[in-house]
Parts: sequence; C-alpha cells; structure tokens
Amino acid sequence: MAENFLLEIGTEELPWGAQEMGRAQLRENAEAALARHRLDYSGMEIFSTPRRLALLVHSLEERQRDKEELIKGPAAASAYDRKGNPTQAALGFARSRGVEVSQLEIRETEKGEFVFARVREEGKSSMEVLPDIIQELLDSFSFPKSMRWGSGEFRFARPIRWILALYGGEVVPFQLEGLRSSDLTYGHRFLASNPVKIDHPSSYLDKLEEAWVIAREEDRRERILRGIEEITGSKGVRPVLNPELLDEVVDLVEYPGVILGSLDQRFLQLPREVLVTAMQEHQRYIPVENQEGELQPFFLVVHNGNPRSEEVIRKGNERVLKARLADAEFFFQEDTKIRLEDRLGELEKVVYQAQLGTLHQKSVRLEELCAWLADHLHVTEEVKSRAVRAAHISKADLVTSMVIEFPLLQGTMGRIYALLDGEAHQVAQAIEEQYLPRYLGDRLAETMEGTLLSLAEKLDNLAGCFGIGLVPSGSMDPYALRRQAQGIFAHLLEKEVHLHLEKAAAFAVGQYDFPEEASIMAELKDFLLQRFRQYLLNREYPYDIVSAVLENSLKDPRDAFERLLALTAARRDGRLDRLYTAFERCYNLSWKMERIALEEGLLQEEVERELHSRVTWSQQPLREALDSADFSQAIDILLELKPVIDSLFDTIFIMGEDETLRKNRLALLQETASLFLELADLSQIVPGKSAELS
Amino acid sequence: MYFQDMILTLQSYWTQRGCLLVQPYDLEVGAGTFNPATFLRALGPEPWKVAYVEPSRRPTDGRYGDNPNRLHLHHQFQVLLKPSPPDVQDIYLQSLEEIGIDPRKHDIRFVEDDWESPTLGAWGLGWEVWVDGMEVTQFTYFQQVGSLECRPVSVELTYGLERLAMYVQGVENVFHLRWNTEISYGELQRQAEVEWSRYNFEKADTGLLLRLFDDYEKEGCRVLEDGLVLPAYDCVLKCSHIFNLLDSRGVLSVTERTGYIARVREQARLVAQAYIQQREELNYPLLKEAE
Repeated sequence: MAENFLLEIGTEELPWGAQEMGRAQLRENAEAALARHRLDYSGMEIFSTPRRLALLVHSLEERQRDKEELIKGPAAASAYDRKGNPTQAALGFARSRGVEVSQLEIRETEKGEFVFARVREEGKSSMEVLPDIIQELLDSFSFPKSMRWGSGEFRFARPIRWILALYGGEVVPFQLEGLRSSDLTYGHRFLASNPVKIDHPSSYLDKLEEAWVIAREEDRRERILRGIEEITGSKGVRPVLNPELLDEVVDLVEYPGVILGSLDQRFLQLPREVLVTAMQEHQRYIPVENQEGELQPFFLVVHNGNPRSEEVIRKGNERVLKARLADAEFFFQEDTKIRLEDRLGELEKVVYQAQLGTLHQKSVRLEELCAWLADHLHVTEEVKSRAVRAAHISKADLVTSMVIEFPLLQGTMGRIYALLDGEAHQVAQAIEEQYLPRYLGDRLAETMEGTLLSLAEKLDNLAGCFGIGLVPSGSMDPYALRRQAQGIFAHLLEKEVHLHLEKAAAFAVGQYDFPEEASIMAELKDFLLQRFRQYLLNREYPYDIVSAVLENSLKDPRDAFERLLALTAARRDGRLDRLYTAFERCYNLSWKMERIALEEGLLQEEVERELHSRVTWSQQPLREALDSADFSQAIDILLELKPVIDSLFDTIFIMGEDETLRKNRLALLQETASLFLELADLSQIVPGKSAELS
Repeated sequence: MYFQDMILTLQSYWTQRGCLLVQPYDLEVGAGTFNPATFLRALGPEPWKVAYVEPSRRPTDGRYGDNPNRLHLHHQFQVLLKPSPPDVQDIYLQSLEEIGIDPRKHDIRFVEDDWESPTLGAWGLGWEVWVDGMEVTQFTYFQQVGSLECRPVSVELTYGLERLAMYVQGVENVFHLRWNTEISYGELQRQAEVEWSRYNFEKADTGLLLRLFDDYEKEGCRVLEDGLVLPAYDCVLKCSHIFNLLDSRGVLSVTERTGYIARVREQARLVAQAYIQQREELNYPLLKEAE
C-alpha cells in the first residue's frame, strides 16, 4: 500500500536565502530522484523554517516500478548456425544476462539483425531504496556559502543536527556522519517541550504546530499579514511593506507574532528615507504610515518569542531602535553642519578605484562629461548649468556619516543635503537620479539634469573599468558594468534621447590618460553593441530585426530602436516579407562582388531604365523619411520599387552572356540594394517569421 | 547583575563545562579572536576548549566618551570550542540564563552573519545572536584561519559584555553601568575613552606609526625564519593594531588601506603555517592527551 514519506533535515538556524534556495532544490532534486528510482507518488510538499527543511511525499508507492530492458547481443548471423541452432556466442550471451537461450529475440537494427535479451528487473521495496534517495538528496544541495562543522567533512548551509525520515509509520534507516535518522523532531526552541515524536508523516504539520512551529511558509506569511492588519487596521494606519523584507521576515521565525512598538516623536523630523532604512536595514522592522503616506511614530516587529512576553520584547526592541535612531540623528545633525560644496576637499582623499583616481577627480570628469552631453543633446543653458552643478557635488554625500553608515542611501542623502544647502531642486534630484536604475526594472531619471548625470556616471564607470581591464567575463561582473550599460540604453530609449553613444563613450575614455585608447574603445564598443542586442532581446523583439538595426546603432540607439519598431510593425502587417523579397533578389546576386559603377547608356531594356530612374527618384524622399525618423514611410517608399524589381527579374536574364551588359545589370542591382540598406541591414532578416509573432 | 559579576558568572559557567580559563593577551588587540588562544589554537587537529575576557581596542569606534553606545575599548567574553560540539547552541543559551536572560521570556534569534577578518585571513559562518532585537553575541563556525582550512572546525562565541550588561541592568548609557556596588563603568573608563579618542584621532604620530609598521613587519619575518612562531605572531598583532591606528588617523587612502590589510594577512598566513608545522613536529601533544 502506498504511504506518505517524510524527510526533515533538522538544522541550526538557516539563513533566509539558504531556505529559499533549499526549498527549490529539494523539490527539484526530489522529483528527479524519485523518477530516477522509478518510485511513483501522488504529490509533494516542501516546508522550511529556520531550523528545518522538509519534504513530504504523498502516497509514495510501496515498490519501484519493474524495469524491462532490451540488451543487445551478438549479430544474429553469428548467434545461430545454418540449422538455426544457437552457437557458443548466443549461449554465452544468454548466460551472462541470466535468460534462457530460447528467450533470446532477433531484432532488426540499422546495422542488421542482432540477438537481444529481454531482461526484467523487479522493483525493490521503497523502504529499501529510500536510504539511497535520502543520501542523494543531501548530497545534491548546493549553497553559495556552505560550511563544515565539528570533525565532519559534510557541507551544508548550517550544521545539520537531526534527520527525521519516516515512510508510513516506520523510520527509514539512514546515517549522516554518525547522525542516525529517527522519528523525532524538535519544536520551537524555547516554547515547546522537545523532542517531539512523529508517529506518521500525515501528522507532521499538526504535531509541529502543537510544538509552536508553523512549518508551511505561506501559513507563516498569512499569520504575519493578519497580525499586521489587526494592529494597523485598528489604528487607521498602514504598514510600509517592502516585499523582499516580508519574504525574509517570514523565514526568520517559526511561530510569528507581531508587535507594535513606538518611537519618540522627535525622530520623525529625520528624513523618511533615513527612518525607513534604519528600521528595515538592520532591524527588519516594518515602518508605519498614515493614509496620507506620512510616517507615524510606530514600527512593527515580527518576533519569534513567547506571546506572553510581548511587553518585554516590545520594550527591548524600542530601546534598540532608539539607540539606532539616536545615532542616525547625530549623523544627520553632524552632516548638515557642512555643506556638500565644502566636502569636495575631503573627496580628494578618497580613492574611487585603484588606478582611477579619487572621488574628486571623478566628479570633475562627470562635470566635463555632463557639459559635453548637454552640448550634444542641445538642452537649454539652464539645464546644462544645473547638470554640471549636480555633477560638481554629485559624490559629496559619499563622505557623510549617514552614507558611511547606510551605503544604500547614497544619492538619496545627496538629494536631501543638497536641498538643505539651497541647491535648485533639479540639481538635488539629479544627484539622486545619477544611480538609477539601481536594479532591473527600477525607475529611471525623471529630470533631464538627472538623465545627463546618470548617463555621465555610467559612461565614466564603463570607460574607467575598460581602461584598466576590469571587463566583465562569463558570470563575473563585479562592477555591474552590464547593468550600467543597460541603464544607458534604458535612458536613451525611454527618454527618447538621440545621442551619438560612440562619440560620448570616446569622450569618456579620452578623459582618462590611457595609453591604448584605440583598443579600449574597440572593446568598449563591442561590449556596448552586445549589451544593446541583449537589452532588445530581453524585451522580446525578434532577433533578426534586432540584428538588422544593430550595426550602426551606437551612432544613435534611439534611432535604431525606432527603425526596429517600424520593421517589427511591418512584419505584423506583412510588408516586411515583401520588402525582404524585393531586397534579397537584388542583394544576393550582386552584393558579394566589388562595387561596380553603373553606366546609364548600357541600360538596354525598358525595365532596367525604369528601375534605375525609380531608384534615383526615390533617393530624395527616402532620405527625408529617414531624417524625419518616419521609418514606416521609408518602408513604403522602398516597397514601391518592388513591382519594378519583380518585373525586371521576370523579364530579363540578369546573368546573360555579354559581360559588359551583365556587369552593368549587377551594378543596377547594387544601386537598388544599397538604397534598401539605408533603412537597415535587411540581409539579417529571416523571412516568414511573421507567424511566430503573436 | 554587576558588570564584574557577569564576567565571574560566565567564567564559572564555561569552566564548569570543561573550558580552560586563560587571561587576556598582553598586547593591544581588536578582538578576542586575535588572542593566540584563539587564532593559533583554532589551527590543526588538537582539541581545545578555552574561555577568557578580552579588552578589545577599536580606535575608529572611539567617541570621546560622548556616545552612550560606542567605545574605543570594549570587553569581549570569548569562548572557543574545538571541535564544535553538537549541542553548542543549547549550552550557549543556558549561559544567557545564568546571567539573567531567560530565553523563554524573550525573543532570541540567530540572525545570519558571515564573519570575516581580512587581516587574519579568517572567515566563518554563523550568526549574530539577538535578544529582543539587540545583538549580544557573535557566534561563528571557523572555516578558515590564517588562510588555512580548519579541521576540525572550531566554534567561537564572542559575548559583547557591555551590550549584555546594559540589557541586564536596564541602562541606556554604557557609562551608567554598575561595575560593582561602588563604581560605575563611567567612573572607571570614561577618562580613558576621552584620552584615547584624542590620541587615536588627533595625536598619534603617524610618521612613527608608519615606521613601526614596517619595522614590526620586518622583525616578524626575521624571527619566523628562526622558527620563533609566537614572537612572530606578536609582530602580526603589533602591525594589526598600528594599522588600526593609522586608519583612525585617516591617513590611509582606500588603496593603501587594502595594501596594509594584505600585508598583515600575509604575515598571519606565514605564522599560521609555521605554527601548524611546529605542532606537527611536536607530535600534537594535546591530541595525545585527549586520547
């Protein structure tokens, strides 16, 4: 009869990340192991708390599925003699496989007829196989940081202290470095009387709950959210919930309780970001705000202690937060005594990156770069001067006590302190926006000043790192240069900024005094192109159209993007396929050879002359369409050539006998193809892809 | 519970559990980990159980005696157990109960903390132990010390005595702690905080310090060639402390800082290697006794 199987790996407190990873790996590896061992089951659940990772398999069959295998033996010709009697070869083969010679089968294979033995392996009982599976599961975990403990060699995220393994009501015998499996688990470290005996896998969750452990992650989450709701609902306030913090908090407790702590009203004078960071970052507290979004003098603590001791726990946490906020308050007061402007001298002492100079030198480079970008993007003088001003003090907050204490607040403190210094609000905002986007999907700069500074900051980082050979490779990208490149493209595309990125990058590289500037630029250009391709592919644009617009894209990524949009739209309505057909007829035949000069006098046929004049006539409107970025119009202009191209190919044999005429016709095709290529490198297009688009 | 009684309680608790009670090291250290009773004894196969108080100097943490929570010198109670016993968390929690923190009445958490000492070339995994949100102990399973793998693994417990005492005595300013019935922490230590903060931040002769660093580094290498492991280790400690002073004087750029850390780490690695070799040549005396 099928029974439930329960495996619980009892540990010392597992970090949140290890639980998250552990749950995913346990599920994946258990599914694979059970399949490999031919054990069928009806379902699987995974649990974890700081002190356990558990697997519950429902209705695991009592035995493995039997296995039947066909094993290939000698060729039929050598297995039987002319009379059809088995030879020594057949007898030997049958013996070695444990079957009667009469049971051998002859089967046709690609290499002729061969003898096969059908070997059956009877499935073993689950109880017999499970110890191996447990071993495989334990061996298959892989954590970014793992450790040994005691005198053992086994590695895990934290020490394993017990193993509970039950199949039905029976313990599955297993040993890990002297630790024996049993039917015992441990409840809450302080609230339960330990150990706890589990009679049967199906009573696991209930028994644990009696022992103050909620093993199912979703149940803990729900309990926490309910607790938060009960407290905030009655007070008419709401929690400032950071989803990642909630995920973490759920995995830091076994039996969560929620407490409302309060803090001295005076701390609310601190900037919101400081309060929120001080609460979340170190203490994992949840801030509270009113319906208008103003922080309130309260915070929520998710605790793992005795519900009867909530008063003691609340007071303790209030004291800790008070000390932290008093520190923050002290930092804020000290920091605001010195204007950002007056910190520039300090920046001269701080190295931004070995070989790349100080933070002060960096901000000087950013000023220059912002000015260059402002000139090339034709922004107003006001915007330019504010962007340059922002660059001037952009790094000053890095030497404030607050940012040293809370590095996450870099830029944000710059904005806050700049406003207190009386800087223009666009200057202040730009200082914060220079680091955007901080992660995939983060917001972008809103102000033009911030856009300029953000571009400058990223270009300077890329230029500097490429200059000293800190180039990302494989999965290694310690300076997050890929993300920075993506940030550049995100700004250019979404803010519709037309920038000659290659020139901007060259200017950024040129600000350093690198000896091998040309090769650095070549490498950087290549990297940017790759990142642009990836950026577009991540947004699920068709790879062939991406390739078609990529080549010259660093001259103006936004322009390339608009070409891509037009071509993608043309694919949807079928124009692209027709455009491609017209193009490739001219291109394939003519493009691989040298460019040939066309002689009008040699165009003999009417249709040749017609195409030539249509191409000539099209040039002007095409350029206009391209220059005004009306790429859909450009496609239509090119499509108007299609009937003439078709009739040329239908009526004339291009590769005729006469060499002079043949070459001249090829020159005509080259002339036509090059017109198409002004739109995009259409040779990259894979025709007939429209069906793939939804 | 008075500050000194907390020390006495922890000492008697851990000695009853088989720990050797040793004394603070007689050189400036930044943490109990630097005491050779931890750094060197964590190396190699010999079993070891030790407990001691370590006054620990962190020049950059000084606040002229003005800040209620920060000190240039604080006291650690250090325990090292090798190999780490399976029930070490329970034994530790019981020690909290001894000094008046009943785990059943508080929210005690083991919060992930990956410990690393770049100067010692040491790292380990473990936790900060929190009592109602306050960190009171660093709990680490050493994986590497002196850039060498630890086999077996030691577990290091470092109690922050001031933090714990503030919690137990219910005071919000470290200088208000009662050391005993007569004397407060402030009466005993505050003047030292003021003077050392001035010295560490303003007065220490950086030229002298830079020279001393080089000299101790040379001296360490020189005596190590003669197989003098312990004197060489003292030179590592000297360099490490001098580096901390240079750091608090703010004369090191980021690059230089990295360079100095690497130099101390390299010295620590050489000493660790020499120590292991020496113990092997001595035939691991403590290993034999244990068997």
